[in-house]
Amino acid sequence: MDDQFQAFVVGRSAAHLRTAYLLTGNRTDAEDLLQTALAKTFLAWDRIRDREALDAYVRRTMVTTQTSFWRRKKPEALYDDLPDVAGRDQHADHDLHDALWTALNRLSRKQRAAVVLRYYEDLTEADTAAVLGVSVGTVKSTTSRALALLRTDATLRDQPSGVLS
Amino acid sequence: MTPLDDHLRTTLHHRADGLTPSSDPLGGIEARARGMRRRKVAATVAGAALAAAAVGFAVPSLVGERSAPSTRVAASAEAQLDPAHPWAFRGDINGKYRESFQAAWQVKHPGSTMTLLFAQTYEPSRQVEAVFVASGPDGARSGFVTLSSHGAEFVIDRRLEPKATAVAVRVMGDETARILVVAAPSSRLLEYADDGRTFQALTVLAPGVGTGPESYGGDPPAPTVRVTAADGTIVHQAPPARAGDVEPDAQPANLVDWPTRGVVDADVLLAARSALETSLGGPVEVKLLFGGGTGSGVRYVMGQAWLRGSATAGSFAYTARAVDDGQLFLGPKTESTAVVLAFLINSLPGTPTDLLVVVPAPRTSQVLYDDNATGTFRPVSTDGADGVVLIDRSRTASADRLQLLTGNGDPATDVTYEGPVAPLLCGSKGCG
Repeated sequence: MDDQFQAFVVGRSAAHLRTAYLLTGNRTDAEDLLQTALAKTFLAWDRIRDREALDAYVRRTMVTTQTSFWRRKKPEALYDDLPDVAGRDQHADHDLHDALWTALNRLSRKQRAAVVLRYYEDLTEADTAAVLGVSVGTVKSTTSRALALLRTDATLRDQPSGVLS
Repeated sequence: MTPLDDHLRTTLHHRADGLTPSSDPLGGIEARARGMRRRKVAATVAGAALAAAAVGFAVPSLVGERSAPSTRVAASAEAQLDPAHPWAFRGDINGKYRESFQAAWQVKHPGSTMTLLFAQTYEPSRQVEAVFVASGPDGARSGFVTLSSHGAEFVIDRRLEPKATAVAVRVMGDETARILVVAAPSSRLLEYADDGRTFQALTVLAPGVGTGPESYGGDPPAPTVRVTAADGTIVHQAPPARAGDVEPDAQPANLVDWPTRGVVDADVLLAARSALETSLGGPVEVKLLFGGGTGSGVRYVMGQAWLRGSATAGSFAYTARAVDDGQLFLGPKTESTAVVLAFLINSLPGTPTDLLVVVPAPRTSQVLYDDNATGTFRPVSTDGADGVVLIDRSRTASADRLQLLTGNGDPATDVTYEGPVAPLLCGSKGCG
């Protein structure tokens, strides 16, 4: 295995694992998704001339693989109720964040991917569109629809008024 | 920036940033990449070899087409598929997956013997899939089965014609539908033409097994698979079987082309079939769409059923609290283009509500429910069974409504159904 590729994986896999976790909702699938993306990256290594774009390549491969028609949801609850977070949030808002996490898990995969790219990766709408392989307009409508669904989700209905407005 | 934006960012970072890194980030990557590369190289090399063979065989192939346009020409015994003594298995499959397929087949066709002809793990989805043939009380059958997280799914399961010389199926691929053909290992050439005339060699996956895309643009006008035997005769020329094909003949036109979802209990299915035959007054055929159970022990199946030979199928649901305590619901006669089916499980023990089971078309991305016609639809969580949703429904509900969305869920453009629940629960013997 190429030294540069090894260095890239060692250096960047933790960050990409976090994104994979947000895309899938649980650690097992996140590791599987990341390994698939890195294997595809390994195969394409010699063709990727712009090493600065490696993160974008892996991110796009993960999103494409995760939203693939064939990658179906499993019947058992896949989403970790309590992720492997060191020191669980004791802040007063933690109920809201738990509810928001539950609501996120009810979004479609493409909606979820749009939210993760915009609100976790802080990508612009144009960059999000490039990763998702859709137009900027579709990113806007997908994100807008996702936020509307979150606001009306049953788990968030009991939150004080104004919290999610 | 709104409060929701802030909370979203905080929630996502809170969930992800404390994740402990993998202890061996490099582990498994190379092996997985090797597997991907091996499959890709094998297909490419075999495809090139077959293309060369196709050029050498072009003239006799065309002559054969002109002089013998029928689908089969003097197929030798070697080229024919005998379900009792089928061709050798080709491909690769883990033993536990093979056992899963066999177990599911016994539930679907008790007493029948199924033999896998070909199996593979389809990249990039890594879906385990197989082409099979079977013989037994239900006659000779063939088809295509996949293994999803719900277990085996018989995407295509149809009667095998006598003296068949190939099992050719049209199934979904990663980006476009694809053709998968299994013929005798000695076959010289496997081809496909989306217009019925311009044949091109399929990529060879194993001796006598080929695959290729169905079409790169729109619905193919005349999809046709052609198989040429070792002696140069065309032994098969016919359209591939498609998902939704239950039988090659006498199948109702209004069957939906949805897969079976959920987990089907064999005992409940047998009881449902018995109840259907009693209610409809004769032998029935069933296309199963969904099976499941509640935490309180109620099990159910849902699908379409028709009297054997009938041209129209009706929807049905069967719920069972015990072996001898089942209830049959005969639903409406839906169109093949239906977007949703539903049924109600009444009076669940210990609950003040009924359970509304909504089975939407597979392409549905969101199901929303308005419990009292206020006009405010709220998203409903799935029970994890590929989009099927369970809704606690008030026993006095009469004006509740459903909204189904597809694609990105844009309410302006992606609504496939918006209307009251009640008509979905009306069947041949009343509503509810």
